[in-house]
Amino acid sequence: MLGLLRKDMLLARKALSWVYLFPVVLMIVSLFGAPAIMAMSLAIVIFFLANSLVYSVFEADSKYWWENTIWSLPLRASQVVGARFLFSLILLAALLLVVIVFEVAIAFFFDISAPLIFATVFGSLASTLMYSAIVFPIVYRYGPAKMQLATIIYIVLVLLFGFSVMKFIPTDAISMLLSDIWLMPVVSLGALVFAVVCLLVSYFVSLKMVEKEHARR
Amino acid sequence: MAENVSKYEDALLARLSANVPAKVPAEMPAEVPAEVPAKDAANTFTNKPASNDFMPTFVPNNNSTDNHAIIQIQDVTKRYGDFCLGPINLSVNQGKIMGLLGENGAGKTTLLSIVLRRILPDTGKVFICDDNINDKVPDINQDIMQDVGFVMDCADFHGNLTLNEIRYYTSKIFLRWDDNYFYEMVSHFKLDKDKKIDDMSRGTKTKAMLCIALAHHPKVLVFDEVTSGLDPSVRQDILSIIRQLVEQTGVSVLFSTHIISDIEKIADTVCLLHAGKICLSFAMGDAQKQYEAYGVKNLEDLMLDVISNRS
Repeated sequence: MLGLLRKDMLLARKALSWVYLFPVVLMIVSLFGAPAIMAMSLAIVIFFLANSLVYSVFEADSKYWWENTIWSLPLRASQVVGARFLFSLILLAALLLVVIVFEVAIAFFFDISAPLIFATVFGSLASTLMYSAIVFPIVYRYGPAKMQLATIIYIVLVLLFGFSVMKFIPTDAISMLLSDIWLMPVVSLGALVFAVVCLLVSYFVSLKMVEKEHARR
Repeated sequence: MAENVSKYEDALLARLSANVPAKVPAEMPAEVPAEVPAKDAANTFTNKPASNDFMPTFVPNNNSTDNHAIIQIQDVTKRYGDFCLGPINLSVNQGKIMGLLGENGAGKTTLLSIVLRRILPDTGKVFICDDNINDKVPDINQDIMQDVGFVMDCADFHGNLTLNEIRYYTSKIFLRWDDNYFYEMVSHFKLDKDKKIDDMSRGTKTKAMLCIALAHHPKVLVFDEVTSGLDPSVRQDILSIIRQLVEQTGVSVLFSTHIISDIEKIADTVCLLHAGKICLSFAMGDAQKQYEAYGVKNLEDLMLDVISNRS
């Protein structure tokens, strides 16, 4: 598995480009703009850039027929899929540190409440993990070419979720959530736990996809 | 200069043989027949009548000092639309080279892909060092691939990485990876380890892939069209390395090509594939007898003759 992690890191490094400096620009701009809004959006941007690095690794693997080569190597399907999930999590953890440092700095220098910061970090992380949980099995089943489709599916699901919240949850409950400032990070943390569970399920689904794909050959 | 190169190669091969003692394999499993049954052997013969003395034998490997089959392919079939590979029965003994010969689309790459687990056969089994590698559950017997090295016609590893970067991760995939040997090979082939694979010429790329394929001291080597598109000197270099490896380490080699002279130079056994079937298989030591039996002068004529009879 260490070999696969090394490979993914090398491929991710190759995929790095100037576009990944975008969050740094966003950080600088946020200092002169609206820090609260930037604090929220930056976390999401950073995490999604991390995801795009992971998918560039998927694309590189596909370009060089790695899905063929792996079966000729002494690797188990669980190692192949597990290493990719682990790589994704390592990348997210590293960027989480960056995000936390930035958010703490924002909170320190500007008048932004701590609960909002927590809610932002937990929420954006949960959102990113959910995205991975949905996209990974689709990529393993249909290849990276279907990643855009997977992204659309994710966005539709998020919109449906938002619509359901507005439609079915009483207005009083939403008002209560917004009135108690510590409820938001708690709800975000709950979402994060749910996303982690989904990611775990996604790992097993991805594993099945990989094994089925091989059996189909 | 030539003397230095020769000394270097001797040292390389001495190191090889020191690091990889020829494996004394375990006894064969009961279900693996030492000889291919007559009904299967019949599939591999041409329709052309031959005298009893020169009846083509089925992958005999009579010259083997060790008759243990390292690669065993039993009744393997694979269907893709109209194309049907097999049933294929063949075996490669320890320390022997089997050359798969056939025109484009004969099924060589499909067969090698089955041996390398890249595709699963519809029926039949493939054994490497007595382990069935094509079990339906992918994780079963995957560790046997520690003993297999390969260079396929297409890119095996990431072309956007350098040879050294590929070494960086493959060295953690293969348990017996030998960095020193890898660098010796790189030096022998005069490769730039910091150059991207995509930026290398075809010949250089093949040499680079060969370094990766050999660096973990495999017991089985699988090559698909490894010498195609190479200039004669590079081809000669690669073929002689393969031949020396086999002689020094007892590695078994299965390689496909449509370059007949390559087969003549290094193969112990030749297996002619046509339209997914084995038309003919014989030890190169018996080649002359085969030519006489078919009334041809060389392997190329024999191949054309067999194929035309089959078509």
